[in-house]
Amino acid sequence: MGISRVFDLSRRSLATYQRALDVTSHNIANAANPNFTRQRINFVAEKPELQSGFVWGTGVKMDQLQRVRNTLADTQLRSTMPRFYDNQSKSAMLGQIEAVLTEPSELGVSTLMNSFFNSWSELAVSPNSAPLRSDVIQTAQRLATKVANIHSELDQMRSDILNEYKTKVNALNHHLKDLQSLNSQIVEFKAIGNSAGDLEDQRDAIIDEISKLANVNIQRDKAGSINLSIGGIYAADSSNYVGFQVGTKNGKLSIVAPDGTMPTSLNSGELNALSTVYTDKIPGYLEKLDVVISKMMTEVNTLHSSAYTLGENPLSGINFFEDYSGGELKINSRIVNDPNMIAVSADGSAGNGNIAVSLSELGTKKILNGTTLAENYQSLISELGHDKISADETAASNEFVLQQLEAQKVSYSGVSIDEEMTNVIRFQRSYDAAAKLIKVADEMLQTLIQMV
Amino acid sequence: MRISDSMLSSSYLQNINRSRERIESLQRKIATGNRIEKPSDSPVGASRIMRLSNQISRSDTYLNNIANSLDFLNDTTISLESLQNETLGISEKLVQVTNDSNAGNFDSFADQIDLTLKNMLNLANTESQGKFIFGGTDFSAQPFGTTSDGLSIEVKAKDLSGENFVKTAPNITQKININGAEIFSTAVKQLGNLDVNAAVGDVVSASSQIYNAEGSQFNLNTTYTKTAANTYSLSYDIIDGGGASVFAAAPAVKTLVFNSANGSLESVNGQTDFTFNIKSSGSKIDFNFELTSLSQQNAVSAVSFSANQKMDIFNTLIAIRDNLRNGIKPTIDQTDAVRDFNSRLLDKITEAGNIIRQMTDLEEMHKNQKLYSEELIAKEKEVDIPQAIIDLQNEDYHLQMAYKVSAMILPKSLLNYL
Repeated sequence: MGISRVFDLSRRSLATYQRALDVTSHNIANAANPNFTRQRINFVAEKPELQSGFVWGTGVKMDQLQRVRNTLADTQLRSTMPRFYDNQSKSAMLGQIEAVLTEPSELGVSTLMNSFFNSWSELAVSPNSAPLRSDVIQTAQRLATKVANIHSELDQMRSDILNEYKTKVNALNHHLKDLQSLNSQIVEFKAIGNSAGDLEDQRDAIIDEISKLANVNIQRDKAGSINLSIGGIYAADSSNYVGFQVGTKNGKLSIVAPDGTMPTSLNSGELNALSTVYTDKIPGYLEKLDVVISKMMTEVNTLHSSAYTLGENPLSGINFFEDYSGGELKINSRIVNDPNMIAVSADGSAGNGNIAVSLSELGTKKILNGTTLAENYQSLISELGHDKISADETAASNEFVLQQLEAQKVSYSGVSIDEEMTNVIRFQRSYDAAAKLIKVADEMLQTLIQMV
Repeated sequence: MRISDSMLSSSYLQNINRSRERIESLQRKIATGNRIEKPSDSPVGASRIMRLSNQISRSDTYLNNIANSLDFLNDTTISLESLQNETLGISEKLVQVTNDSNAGNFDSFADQIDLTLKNMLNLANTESQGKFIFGGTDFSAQPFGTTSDGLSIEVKAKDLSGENFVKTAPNITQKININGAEIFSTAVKQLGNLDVNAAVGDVVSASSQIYNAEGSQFNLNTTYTKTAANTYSLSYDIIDGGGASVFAAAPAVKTLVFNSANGSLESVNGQTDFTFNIKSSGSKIDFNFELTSLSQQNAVSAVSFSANQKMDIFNTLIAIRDNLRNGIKPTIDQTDAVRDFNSRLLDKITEAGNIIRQMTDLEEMHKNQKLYSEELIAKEKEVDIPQAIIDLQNEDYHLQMAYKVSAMILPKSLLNYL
C-alpha cells in the first residue's frame, strides 16, 4: 500500500464527515420547525481493493441521506385529524347555537312561553282589568321577539357558515395547487437522484392542512408523487389538481369538481362539520321550535276565537295571533292597538274569564304528540345539549389519540439537540482524526524525501 | 422511547393547557355560582331547571291569583256580614213592631226600615277591584236600582248569575264570587220527571203561582212536548189575574235533551247551562227558572214547582215599609222572608269562608312547593363553592408545579455542558 492511499482515504473521510456535519447543522437549524423531519446520513465502508493478494479497505462514504419518518403514524394521524377537526368545529358551532337559545335562563323561550300562559291565568281573576290585558300582550310580544331573534340569529349563522365553507373550499384549492406543484418538483428531484426531504416536509404539511378540512386518501407512486383523493374522488397528483366549487348534494353542502362529480364519502373534517350544522342541525332545531310555536298559536287561536271581547258589543271569532311564518309570530294588530279585543269571556259578559282559564291550561296540557309544549321545547334543548356533549367528547377522545400519534411522530422525526450535539462531537472527532492522518502521511513523505 | 426537543415542549404545553382549562372552568363556576349555564353542561339538568323554573313561575302566578282572589273574597265576606247585620236589625224591628206598645211608632219603624233598605241596596251594589261584588260577571250596570216609577227595586244588570273562575292550582279552578242571583234572586225550580215511554207528541203541562216585585200574583205555565226519543220541547207563559199573557210575543221554545242511559238532563238548546232568566219588565217579573232537577224516568210523568222565595228581599222590605206607613203590621210571610234571607246570607258567608280557607291552604301549599322547587334548582344548579375553591387551589398547585418543572427541564441540553 502506498502512502498516497492514506491521503485518498483521509480526504474521503474529511469530505464525508464535513457532509455529515452539514446535515447535523441542518437538523439543528430546524429544531424548532414543527414541519421538519430530521435527516440522517447512513455511512458505509468504501468498496475494498484487492492488491498483492490482500484486501485493502478504502475508507468511508455516505450511502444515503435518509429522512426519518414513521409512515404508519402519518397514516393514522391523517385518518384521525379530520375526525378531530370535524367534532371540534361542530362543538364550536353548537356552542354558538346554545348562546343564541340562552337556556336555561329567564331570557329563554321556556320562561317566556310559561309567562305568556301565566298571564292568561292572572287575567282570569279580573278579566276586565286593563293592566292585566296589557300584560298578556306584553308577554306575547316578549315571546314573539325571542322567537324572531332565535330565527334571525340562526339564519345569520347559516349565512356565516356558508361563507366560511366557501373560504375553506378556496383554501383547499390553494392547498391542492401547492400539492401538485410540490409533487412535480419532488418527482424531478428524485429523477436525477437528489434528496427531496425538505420538499417532502412541505408536502406533508400541506396534506396535514387538507386533512383538517376533509377525509383524504393518499397513494404514493414509484416516482415519489402523492396522488390524493378527497371523499372518494381524485383531487391532485404530480401533473394536475382539481379546483373544487361549492354545491349541494341531497340538500347538503358539498364540494363539487368542475365536471360535476361530488365526493361519495365526505364524512369528516371541518367542511363536513360546516355542512352538517348548516344542512341538518340548525334547520332541525328551528323546525322543532316552529312545531312548538305553531301548535301554541293554533291552540291559542282556537280558544281565543271562541270567546268574546270586552266592550259594549262583544265580538267573537277573533284570533289572538295573526300568523307564524319565518320565525315571525304576529300578534293580531287589532289586539295590540286595543287590549279590549282580547277575548276571554265565554258568554260575552265583562267579568267572565272562563276562556282565560282554558288558555292558561294550555301551558300544562299534553297537546303536542302526547306531551306539553314546554316538554317538547325542553326535548329540543336537551337534544342540543347532547349533540354538543357528543361533539365535545368525541373531539376530546380524538385529540387524545391525535396527541399520542403526534408524540409518536415527533419521537421518530423530531430533532433532539442532545443527539445532534453528540453527533457534532462524533463527526468533529472523526474529521480531526482524518486530518491528523493526512499530517502523519505528510510527515512520512517528508521523512522519505529527506532520505533521498 | 426517543425524546425529541419538540416532544418535551408540546407535552409541556398540552399539560399546561389542560390545567388552565380546568382552572378557567372552576373560576367561571365560582364567579357565576352556576354549575349549569348552558344545555351541554348537563342536558338533563338543564331540562330539569327549565321545568322547575316553570313550576316556580306557575306557583307565583297561583299565589298572585290567590292573593287577588282573597282580597275580593274578603270584601265579599265584609259585604255579606254587613248585609246580615242589617237583616238582623230588621228582624229585631219586626219583633218590636208586633208589640202593641209600638202601635203608634209605625212611621218611625217604616223610616228605619227605609234606611236599612237603602244601606242594603248600597251593599248589594258594592264594588271591589273594579267589579261589582254581587254583579256576577256583568259589569255593564250596577246590579240593583229602583224602577222608573220609583216604587220597587229591580235588577239593572243583564245577568247576576255569572261565575268568576280562577286557576288556583294545576287541577283546581275555583269559583271566587258569590253572585247576586245566589243571594237576592228568586229561583223557581221545575221538579219531577217525564215518562221515558211517552209517545212522540205526548204533552205534559204544569202550572204554579209566582209573584212580581210588588207582590201581585201570576201563573207560570209550562208545557213539555215530546218531539223525539229523549227530546222534549219546552214552552212557557206567564198569565196575569185577567188571564192575559205578560209577554207581547210568546217566548222562544227550548229544546231539552235527556241522557238515554240515566235519564238526566243533558242539554238545553245545545248548552249545558240548565238555568235561564225569565223577565217581564212591564209586569215587574224577574226570576231564574231552573231545570236541573228535571229528569226522564221509567214512570208516569209528574212535574211540579218549588221557589226559594216569593219576592226578593228589597221588594219585601218595600212592602213592609209601605204597610207600616199604612198602619199594617208585617205579615208572617214577610217576617219569614226576612228570616229566610238571613239564613241564605249565613250559608253564603259560610261558603265564602270555606273558599277563603281552601285558598289559604293552597297558598301555604304553593309557598312550600315553591320553596321545595327552589331548593331542587339550587341543588341542580348551584356550585359547591368550598369544593370548587379546594379544586381550584389544587389545580393551581399542579400548574405551579408544571411551570417549575418545565423551567428546570426545558432549557437544558448537552449545550449547557459543552
